[in-house]
Amino acid sequence: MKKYLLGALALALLASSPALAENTKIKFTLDWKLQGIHGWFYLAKQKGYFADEGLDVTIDQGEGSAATVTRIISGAYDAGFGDMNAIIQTAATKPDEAPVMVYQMYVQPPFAVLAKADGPIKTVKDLEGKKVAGGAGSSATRMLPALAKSADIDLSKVEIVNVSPSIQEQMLIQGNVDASLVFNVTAYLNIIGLGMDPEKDFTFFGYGDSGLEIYSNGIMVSQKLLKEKPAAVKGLVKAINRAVMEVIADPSLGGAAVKEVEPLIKEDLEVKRLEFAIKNLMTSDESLKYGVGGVDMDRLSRSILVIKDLYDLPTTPAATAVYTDAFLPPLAERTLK
Amino acid sequence: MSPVVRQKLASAALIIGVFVFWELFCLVAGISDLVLPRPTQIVATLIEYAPAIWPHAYQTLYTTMVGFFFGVMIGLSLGLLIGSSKLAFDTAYPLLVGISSIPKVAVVPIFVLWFGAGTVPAILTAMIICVFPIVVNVATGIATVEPELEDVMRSMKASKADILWNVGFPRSMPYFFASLKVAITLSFVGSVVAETVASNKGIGNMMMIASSSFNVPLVFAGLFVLAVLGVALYVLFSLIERRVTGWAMRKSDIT
Amino acid sequence: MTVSRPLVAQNTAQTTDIANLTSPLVRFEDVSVSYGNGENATLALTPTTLSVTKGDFIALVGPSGCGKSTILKLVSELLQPSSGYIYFAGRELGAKPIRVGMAFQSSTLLPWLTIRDNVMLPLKIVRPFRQQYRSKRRGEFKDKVDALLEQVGLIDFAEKHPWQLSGGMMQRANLCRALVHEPDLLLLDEPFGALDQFTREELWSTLQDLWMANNTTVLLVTHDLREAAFLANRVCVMSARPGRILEDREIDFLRPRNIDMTFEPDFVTLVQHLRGLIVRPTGKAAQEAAS
Repeated sequence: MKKYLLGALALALLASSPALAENTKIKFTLDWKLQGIHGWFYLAKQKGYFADEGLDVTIDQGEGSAATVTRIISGAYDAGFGDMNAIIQTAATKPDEAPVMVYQMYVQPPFAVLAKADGPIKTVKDLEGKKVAGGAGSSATRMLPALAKSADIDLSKVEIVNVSPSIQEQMLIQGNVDASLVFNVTAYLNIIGLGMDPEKDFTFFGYGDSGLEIYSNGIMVSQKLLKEKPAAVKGLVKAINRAVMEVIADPSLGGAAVKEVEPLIKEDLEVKRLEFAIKNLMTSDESLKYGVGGVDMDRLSRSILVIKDLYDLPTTPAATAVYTDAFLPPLAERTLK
Repeated sequence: MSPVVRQKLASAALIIGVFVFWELFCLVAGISDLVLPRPTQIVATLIEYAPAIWPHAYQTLYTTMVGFFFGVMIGLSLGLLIGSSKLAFDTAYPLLVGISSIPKVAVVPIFVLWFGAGTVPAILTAMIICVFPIVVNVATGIATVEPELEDVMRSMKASKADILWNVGFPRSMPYFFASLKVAITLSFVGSVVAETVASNKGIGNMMMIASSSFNVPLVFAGLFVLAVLGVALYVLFSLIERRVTGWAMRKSDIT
Repeated sequence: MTVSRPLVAQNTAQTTDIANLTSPLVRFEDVSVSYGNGENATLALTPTTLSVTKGDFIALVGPSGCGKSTILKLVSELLQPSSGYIYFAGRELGAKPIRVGMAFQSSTLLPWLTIRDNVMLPLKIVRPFRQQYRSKRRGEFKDKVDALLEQVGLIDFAEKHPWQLSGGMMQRANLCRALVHEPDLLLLDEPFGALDQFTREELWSTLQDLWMANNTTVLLVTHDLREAAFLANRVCVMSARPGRILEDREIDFLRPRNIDMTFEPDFVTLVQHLRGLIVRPTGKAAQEAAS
C-alpha cells in the first residue's frame, strides 16, 4: 500500500514537473458531440500545433453551440467553438462576462430553406402561398421573420406547419409540404442517410444567401484569458488556423483526425459534413475578402441589430465588444483560394 | 421438470421470441435499418465494432462504479447518522426528499459548468442519484429497531454507539444490500445520462455520436450493451445481497 | 458449569429472608410515577414501598396497565421516578452501577447472530466483561455461555440461528442472555406470554432451575397467576391504574416445585385467592383482569 502511495506521489510530482508546466493549459469545448467539422481542432492537437505555441489544450465535447458560451462564462472552460449570436445575446445583458469571438469560422447562418429540386420553389420569394414545415422551437423557424424582412417575403401568405425536426425531410419527400426550414448541415446528412443525393435531388436556399446577415460558430475565449494570457490566445488562434487551412485544402485530413479520436465514426460521412460546412458556412464573399476568421465589422454591426430585434435585447452591444481581430494571423495565412 | 427450471425456460423462450418476432417483423414490413435495425444487424454491428465499443463500455462501468462507491459511502454514513437520531431523521428527511425529487438529468449541465465535461460529471451524477435510496433504507433499518430490544440494550448500560454498532448497523444491512441493487442500476442510468450530455467517452456518448452519423445499428448496439451491463450489475449485487444477508431471507439452507 | 456461586438446593423464602433481612437488595420508598404534565398528568404508579431481598424471587401480578412493567423499568433505570427514592444495596439507585438482565415476551434475539453469539452479547457490552471480551470470547466466555445453554438444553443448537428454533427454545436462549453477565437482578416482563401452555410449564421448570443454580434475584411480571404462584417466593398483587400493591404474599411451597404441585388443593386455593384480589374491586378492573 505504501509503495503505491509513494508511486502515486512520484507520478503527481512528475506531472507537475517544470518541463510540462511550461505549456499553458487551455480547456476547450466543442459545440456538440464529435463530428467531422471538429477535424481541425483534433488535427491541431495530434500534429502538435498547440504544443508548438506552448499550449496544452484539452478538447471536450459539447452540448450545443450556445452552451459553449455558458460553459466559458462559468469558468469551466477557457475557450471553445460556439455561436456568435449567443455571445451577442449575453453581451447585451452581461457585457463583463460574455466571451469574445477571436476567430469567426462560420460567416453564414447554418439555416436553409430546403426544397425539392423539381418542386415549385425556385427562389425564397416563392414560399408565398406555399406550405412550409418548421421544426417546433427550432432556430431556423425562429429566424424566419428576419429572413422574410431581408428577402422581402410576405409571411402572412406562408403557411407554416409545426413538425418534429426529425421528420422534416421525410415530409418534404412525401410531398406533404413544399419546403422545410432546416439546419443545413443536419439536413444535408439526413438526406444522405435517407439514401438520396442532397446535391441533385434538393435545393438549399441558405438564409445567408437570401440576405440574412448573421454569423454563426467560431472560436471564442473568456475575457479572463484575453486579458491575462493574450499570448496564449494568439497561439491558440494561430494553431487552429494552421489546421483549418490544411483541412480546407484537404478535408480528408479532418476526417482522419476525427477517426483517430473515435474509431466508431463513419469517416466518409464526416468528410462530407466537413466539405459541406466549408462550402456553405465558411465560404462567402466576406471570407474571401477578409480571410478565414475575419469579419466585415459593418456587417457584424448589422447582424447585431438583427439579433437585437429578434430577441428584443435591452442593449445593443458594440461589434468591437463581441469580436476582435487582434489575435488573427496575417491575412496571407488565412486566405481562401 | 421442476417448476423453477420450467419458469427459467419460459423466460428464456420469451426473450428469444421477442427477438425472433422483431427480426421477422422488420423483414416482412421492410423497415429501414435507419428506423429499426434487425437484431441480427445489431449483433453484427456489435461484433464488428467490439474493439471500439469496449473502451466506451469500460468508461461507463468505471464512472458508474466510482460514483456508486462514493454514493454508497455517503449514503451509508448519512443513513447511519439520521437513522440513529429521531431529530436528525425528522430534520433531514424533507431536504433529502427534495433533493431526490430533482430529475438528475437537470443537474448534469450544472456539474459541467463547475467541472467541465468528461468523467467528473458522470461520476457525480452516478453518485448523487444513488445516495437517496441507500440513506432511506439504512435509516429505516436503524430507526425501526424494536423498542424492547432497545430496552434490553439500555438495561445493559449500552451506549448509543454500542446499540448502533451491535444492533442498528447489522439490522440495517438487509435494507442496505437490498438498496444496493436498486442504487447500482440508478448509478448506471445516471452515468449514461451524464455521458449523453457532457462527455468525451462512454456508451451514452457513443450513442450520441452514432446517432449524429446515422449509424442506427450502432445506437441499438449501445442499447444492447447498456441492457447487458445493467442486468449484470443488478445480478451481481443481488448475489452479494443473498450472500451477505442470508439471515434476513429466513431460509435455513443459507449459512 | 463455571458459575462460582454455591448451588442452593433448598432456597426457600424463609432462609433468604432471614439471611438478608437487614439489608434489602432493592428498596422502593414512596415511589410514584406519572406521565405527562400539569392537568394532563396520569398517575401510573401510586406511591409504593417495596423491598426486594437478595436471592429472592418476586412475582408482580395484576391487570393490564397496573404499573407492573413500570416497576421493572424503574429498577433498570429506563425510567425515572416522579417522586420517592429507590435504593440499591443501601445506596440510591444510579450511585453505583447495577447490573440487570432483562427478558421480554418477544425474544428480541438478533437474527444475524448464532444462539451462542446472541447469549454472548451482554458480555460484549456490560462492564466489566466488555474489557475482556476480545481476549476471552473464544475461551472462558464461550465455556460460560455453553454451560448456560447446557443447563437449558440448547447446547446442540448453539450454532443455529434464532429463526431455526421454536418459540420455547428462543425464550430459553433469551433467559440465558439475560443471565450470562451474572446480573444482580433478573427482570422478566411476561417472558412466557406468547407460548402455549405446555411449553410455558416446561419453561417454568427451566427458570426455576436456573434461579436455584445461579442464586439470582428475580422480579417477574406476569398475567398468569399460576405462573406467579409456581415460580415466586413472594407474589405482589397490584391494582388497576393507578397501580398500587394490594397484597404482598409469601409463597412457601417446597423447592424444587413441579407441575404436579399445581393440582394440589393448597396451590389451587392460593391461585383462587389471588384471582379474587384482582377480580373483586370494581366492574371495570374485573373485566380487564378476566380478559
